[in-house]
Amino acid sequence: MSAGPWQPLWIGDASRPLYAALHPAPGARVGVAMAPPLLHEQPRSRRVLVEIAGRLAASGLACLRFDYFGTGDSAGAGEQHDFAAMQADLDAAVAALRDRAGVRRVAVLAWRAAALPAWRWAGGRDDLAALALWEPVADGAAWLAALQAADRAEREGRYGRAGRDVEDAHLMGFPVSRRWRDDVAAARLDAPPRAETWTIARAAAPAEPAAQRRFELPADAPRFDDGVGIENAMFLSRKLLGVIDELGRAFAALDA
Amino acid sequence: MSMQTLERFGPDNRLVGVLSGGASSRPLLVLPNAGLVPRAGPFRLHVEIAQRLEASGIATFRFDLPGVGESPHLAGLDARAATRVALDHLAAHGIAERFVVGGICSAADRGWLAAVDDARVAGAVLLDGVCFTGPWFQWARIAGVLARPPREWPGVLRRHAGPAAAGGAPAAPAAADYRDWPSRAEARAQLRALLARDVRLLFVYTRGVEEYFRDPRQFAWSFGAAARDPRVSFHYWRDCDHTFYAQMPRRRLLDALERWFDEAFGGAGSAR
Repeated sequence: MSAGPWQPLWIGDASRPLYAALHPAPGARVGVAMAPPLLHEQPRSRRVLVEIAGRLAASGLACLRFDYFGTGDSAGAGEQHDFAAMQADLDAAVAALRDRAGVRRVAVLAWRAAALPAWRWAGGRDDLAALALWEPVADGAAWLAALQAADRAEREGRYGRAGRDVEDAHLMGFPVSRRWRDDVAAARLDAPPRAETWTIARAAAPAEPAAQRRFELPADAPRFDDGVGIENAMFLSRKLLGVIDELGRAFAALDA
Repeated sequence: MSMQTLERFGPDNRLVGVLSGGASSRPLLVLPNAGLVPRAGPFRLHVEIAQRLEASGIATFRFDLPGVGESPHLAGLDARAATRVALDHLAAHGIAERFVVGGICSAADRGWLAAVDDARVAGAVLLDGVCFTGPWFQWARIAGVLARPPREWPGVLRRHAGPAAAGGAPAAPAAADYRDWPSRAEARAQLRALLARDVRLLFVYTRGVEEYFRDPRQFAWSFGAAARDPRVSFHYWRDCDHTFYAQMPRRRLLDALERWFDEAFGGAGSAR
């Protein structure tokens, strides 16, 4: 499907520029800032996030995609990417969406482990219309442990047994700081934020107690736990389009 | 702070690339995306390359080919044509006159074809790029079997003899079946023509392409006498993987790339 017209741009402070892309919607009153997933899940989901942003924009919502500082096409090194930096990036994305699209209300759509920094960040804001979490990672420590096990398996497959236990500050192919690991390990979806919270999850996923609304993903929705393979890109399925449209209607209703 | 600008190009400006670094006397390194991995590169390799080379005064341009990452499918514009369109844009806007093109796997194939197609291409970076199997590859496979305990030889040989012999599924496609490669004779002629144009080439092969590269002697077998030309740099890194996942292979690649640029096109401040 077409992602429609969109505009690439730099956002944030000139000392730490973030790559972003605005999918405009003429007359939009609600904007959606899209916080991508972390590490290997970010490049794998690039295409599907572009398609989702295009679909939401076609339904009248201004959408802003962005890469965190030290990730994707943004400036900075991977070691500079931690929760404090991500929360500053969310501030920059929301400000850019208001400035560039002129929307009255802003919601954040956060994928996977992006839910962890976004959850805490949203608790400190009273201007957020909604926080929508796509298959959120609810327990940072458990997720980090799973990543470390997957990383060891990946290294063994690539370098043999001798390469399996090398400690080189890379995780799932990306450099990560001690601070990033500590941030993830300490994070949980605990005290609910002030904003209305939604989840987008598969039927089998446990309900998030703080969520006021739940959107159910079809079985063929892209999976985020399929490894780091170079060809493991995600795409939008026909069934998923229905969920995106339902989500779009819910975002649009935030202005009612 | 890194200097990055966004460039829109192609039909209706629907393709987007990121230009890193300023004006330079040395060729600009163009990095098309590899496979389905967006332009930031496998595990952000292209951004790390851009940051490292920018510090040495070398500019880079990375972009998504049509149908990958942010780029829409564009009728009539395949990867080969899109690479040419990118070079045309960079030249028309006075950003660079000479280019090095390449990357990993399919991006290496783009680099080879761009060098063959376009006289503005002064170099190619071919990471797990074109090569051919031949006798040294077969020798390395047999040597690999013999290095195993004898009790494993029959099973391994049955697998090497092919799935049909083992009564299994049809053979998986070979690299040449899905890569954008010339024949060996064509590749030899193309390399001679590139050297006649004084093009510089960096070939790196890793253990990640063991399905077609297992022995460094394959390189000369594939490309002939031109493989020994001083303008051709060749490395076989048996301890590295295809996408440079861990820190050691990543650093090794960045060091080698920076050194190759200096050797091929002169250090900062000099022009070749």
